[in-house]
Amino acid sequence: MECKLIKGDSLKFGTYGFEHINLPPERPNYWDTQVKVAKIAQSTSLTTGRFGVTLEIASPCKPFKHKFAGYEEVVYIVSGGPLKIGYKGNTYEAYPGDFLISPMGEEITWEVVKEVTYITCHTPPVDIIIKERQEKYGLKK
Amino acid sequence: MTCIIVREEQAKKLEPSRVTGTPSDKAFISQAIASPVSKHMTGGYIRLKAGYVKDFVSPVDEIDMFIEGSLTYTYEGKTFTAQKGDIVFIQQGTKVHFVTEEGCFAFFVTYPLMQETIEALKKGAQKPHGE
Repeated sequence: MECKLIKGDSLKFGTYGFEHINLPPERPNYWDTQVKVAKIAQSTSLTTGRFGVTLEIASPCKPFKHKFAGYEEVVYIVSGGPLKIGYKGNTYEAYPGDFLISPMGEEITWEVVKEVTYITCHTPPVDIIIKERQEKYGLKK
Repeated sequence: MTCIIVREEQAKKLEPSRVTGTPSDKAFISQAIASPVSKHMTGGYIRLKAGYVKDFVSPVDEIDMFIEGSLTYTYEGKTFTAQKGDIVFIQQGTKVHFVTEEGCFAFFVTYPLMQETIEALKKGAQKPHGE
């Protein structure tokens, strides 16, 4: 059991760095180099489920396709943007305060117009997603 | 299943919380993301009015990010106060005491689905660890 406070100004950001869920075939890709990540929390036990939270700062980028393979993600826009999401012929511009949800297996187009900060809540947690991907593709950390 | 966006204006339509069974006059929430849009997570906003006090065993994993005001948590004898920009993570089954003197406003996401989990608990289908 746990209840913890994460002070907003205490978060330390890194990058996914050559191990992100989109590998392969592109290595490195946008997520590995252009997105700063701070892992906030995750729980993976049988009693508490498989839930993870990260705060991410994404640099501007041109549209590219991204598939939510093997995980479901809720995104909450904290600041900046807009983040443009293309899905089945529609384009949505997400601004601070908006929520996005991308269910497992869905493919979207991702475009960051201006630097955007967002919280991602996903199941399973990022570490589990990466581990499963590494095992699937025979990648070593 | 689909990919959707819920605008801030829509997401902030708050209603009295019924988490404890009866509508609260000091706790208001929205469920911007909920079943059937999500199979796993509930997300929205929560506003607690000044003077809100609650002892609670969290039925879900929960993340809260504070936008306004403050909320003081007591957990296993330790007390901390979350303010604007802070994030609090509560694991399922954790016993927490909440109090807010000035009120607060936050966004939250839970795993698994909040309402379904609460209803399952009422039926005795499952119990959070520690209960």
